[in-house]
Amino acid sequence: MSDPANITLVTMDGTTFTVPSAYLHRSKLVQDWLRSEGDKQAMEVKHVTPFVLQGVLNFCEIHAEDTSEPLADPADPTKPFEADPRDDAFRGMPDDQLLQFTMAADILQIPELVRLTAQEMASRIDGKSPDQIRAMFNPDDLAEEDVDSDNEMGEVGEEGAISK
Amino acid sequence: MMFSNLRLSQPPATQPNNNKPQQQQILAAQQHHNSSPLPTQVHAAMFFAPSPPDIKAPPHSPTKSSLSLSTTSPQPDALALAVAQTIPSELILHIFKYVTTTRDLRNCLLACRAWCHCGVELFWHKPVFYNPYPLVRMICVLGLVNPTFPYALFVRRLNLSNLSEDVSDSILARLAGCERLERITLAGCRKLTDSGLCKLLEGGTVVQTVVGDDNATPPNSTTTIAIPQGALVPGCGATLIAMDLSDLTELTDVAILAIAERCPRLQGLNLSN
Repeated sequence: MSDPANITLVTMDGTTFTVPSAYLHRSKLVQDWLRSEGDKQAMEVKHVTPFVLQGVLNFCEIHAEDTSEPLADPADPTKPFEADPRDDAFRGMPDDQLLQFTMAADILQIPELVRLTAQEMASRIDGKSPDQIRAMFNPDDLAEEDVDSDNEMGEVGEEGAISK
Repeated sequence: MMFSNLRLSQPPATQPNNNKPQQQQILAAQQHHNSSPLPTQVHAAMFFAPSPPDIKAPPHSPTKSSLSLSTTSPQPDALALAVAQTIPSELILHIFKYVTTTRDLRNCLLACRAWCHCGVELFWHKPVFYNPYPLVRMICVLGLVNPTFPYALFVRRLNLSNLSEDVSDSILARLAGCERLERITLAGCRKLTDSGLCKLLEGGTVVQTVVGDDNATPPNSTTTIAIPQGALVPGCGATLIAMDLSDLTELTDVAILAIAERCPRLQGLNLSN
């Protein structure tokens, strides 16, 4: 029987982390799990590596005492979002790590961390050319089809701005 | 630092590289790209300095073999490659929503096909115009016979009040293909009359453009041939929620009746002046 004050998380390779449940009150995934299967020993977070989960839990610990309203939509750019100096560790990490944290935040459904990482990701994309973005993420190859759509979408946004 | 004691087992050297389960594709990809000896220790505490005192690392290595983290990976690019291809599309969209300018978003869409599919609708969601040329270009793209994406369906909000002197009935009529348009602001577009507005709402036959032979050239007035093929579009009256028609002095009851008939979802209508 698990201790209601603590929760044990198991990562993809079987590494376990036991933290106070209060840390994870912003994780919708964990809260749903506690409601439905809270009597089990440990919660599996299969797609997260120990290193990333460690970082996520650090974030949760830092923000465990926060009293701000839970974020309904992590990607609502109309809401003012001020950088928190406690999160500087996330802002300083390499691109590939940041991407892993973004995905982990999404898996664990922690809107505040999704917002932080997505926003940091976006700020790194700002001002970069398509080639530079490709170099950053190395996604699949540019195909001829995309050259066409370049022409099609060329100017619409040229003078415009995203809806904000 | 307890966490730094954590050790992950190293996969046996004889283990085949290509039969990892689906959920481990990130690692599998890394392994695939990474033939050098694998790191065995996780230096997590290196980055996140004080680890919580109550986080426990298991005393024994996990039974399942796994690779280590990118901090210790000699080829972080290989991992980035794998990760970038496994980001869920809604997460890419979250990131795109924080990208500052439309130009940055456009650069993202041009970076790879998957991202383009993901962000193109956001890109077209709310076109904003400060001079007429992009509007003409957009109308050309909307009229393409075989567009890469159904761009007209992506347009949800339009504000043409910056171009009030240039918006004519014929321009408005060619926007009738935006059949999911929800909000349109035409404030001050004094040239508009009942005819243009009715065509926008009711649809009908819309001129299509065919890009010339040289597909690499952007569609503009010199390379496109307009042929009246007659694409039948339903008009955008059905989805409109709000219209700002203030200062449209030429409008008469005809337009108002058309709005009443064609716009069942309309909640806001500005007809001042």
